[in-house]
Amino acid sequence: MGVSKVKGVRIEAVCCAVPANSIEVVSYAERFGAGAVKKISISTGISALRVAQEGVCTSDLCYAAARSLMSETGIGSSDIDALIFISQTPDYILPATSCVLQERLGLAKTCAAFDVNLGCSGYVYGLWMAAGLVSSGLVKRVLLLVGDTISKITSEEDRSVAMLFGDAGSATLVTSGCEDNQLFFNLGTDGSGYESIIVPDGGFRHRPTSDSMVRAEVDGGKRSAMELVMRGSEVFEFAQSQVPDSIIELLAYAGSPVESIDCFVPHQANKFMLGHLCGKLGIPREKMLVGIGQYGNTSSASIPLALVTELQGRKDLGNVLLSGFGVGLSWGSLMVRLDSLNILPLVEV
Amino acid sequence: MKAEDIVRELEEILEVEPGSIATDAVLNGLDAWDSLAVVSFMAVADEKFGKRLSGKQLEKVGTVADLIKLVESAA
Repeated sequence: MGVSKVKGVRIEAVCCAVPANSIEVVSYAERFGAGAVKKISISTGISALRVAQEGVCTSDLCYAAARSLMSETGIGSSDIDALIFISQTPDYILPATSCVLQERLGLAKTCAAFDVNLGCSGYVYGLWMAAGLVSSGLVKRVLLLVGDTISKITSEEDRSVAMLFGDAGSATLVTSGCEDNQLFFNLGTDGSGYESIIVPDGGFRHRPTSDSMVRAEVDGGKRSAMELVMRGSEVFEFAQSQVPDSIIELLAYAGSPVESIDCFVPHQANKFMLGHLCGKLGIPREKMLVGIGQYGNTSSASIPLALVTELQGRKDLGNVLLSGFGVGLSWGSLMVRLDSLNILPLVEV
Repeated sequence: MKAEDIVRELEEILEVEPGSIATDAVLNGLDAWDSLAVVSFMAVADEKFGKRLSGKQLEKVGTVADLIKLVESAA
């Protein structure tokens, strides 16, 4: 089915937190050569990455974003009925990180809390779940925490990923809103591409062994089986076909021509891919948010982070198209009018 | 779309002089034919020739002539 719509739900506020620690991409010149680093930086559009220090987890970044959001909006900890934590870098294999966060944030014991394991598509999936919960009347307010620390699972010796990923956490408040407000979604999955972006060992399919941690030379880079593999050309193939097709399908479903889009916020994968996607859809470049330059690809947090870094304090965003796509392979797009979204200042941890 | 157009786009991506690549030149193993070059070529094939190429096949392509054949036969 893919497409669905929900009414009477409001995306009320969004806040993000990033590590204060910033690493310049040029610092990799010694390892990979100045020419190669410059070429990659120009293509990806990334000059710097925010990297979490040892001991700082995704949950810490999301916690900081949530604390700031709750303080700025005046929402009480007992007012949150559900907490959803979406990440591919949780605190533990078990228990769910959302349970740990329930206690840290002082939420009520009647709060439903659960984790979802998704990456690039995670934010849109999160909004879909939160919107469904609110619109059905199951809950009144959802705190959606979405983020990743992918820098912790990339090999600094692997040229294909070392200069791509930054860390970030986000908090979004989803509540009931006026009935006129419609959210249009289009979600999908293609598990045949599960190996396109993968950390092979460490789960239960391949339990970690002493060999898992040993780095080996692969395709000009060195990484271990517990580190991220990204097959760039396969991901690009997906991004240039499935993703625009699903967005076009969504726009038709919502009855919104491309010209009606005021703001396009894609998952901040890399500037090259985004430019190509924009061109394929016929969306003018100036309507697309690009926030990747100083933060890198922050996986599940990239969409809310782009909103915060590029549009903080702005209201009346008009018709906004959010689109997340990648690991899984999984994709999700949302078309929604955002006239009263409270975009809060960026927090540094 | 002519074979020369495909070669010209390839030369631009590899940042070499126009006319310097022969059709029997081997791409596989060329330093410049890296993952960035592969996705750049996929983008160009889509934008300029309306062809969607498979990343897997592109990465394994042997010579420039093989590349031309791949583009011509693609959907």
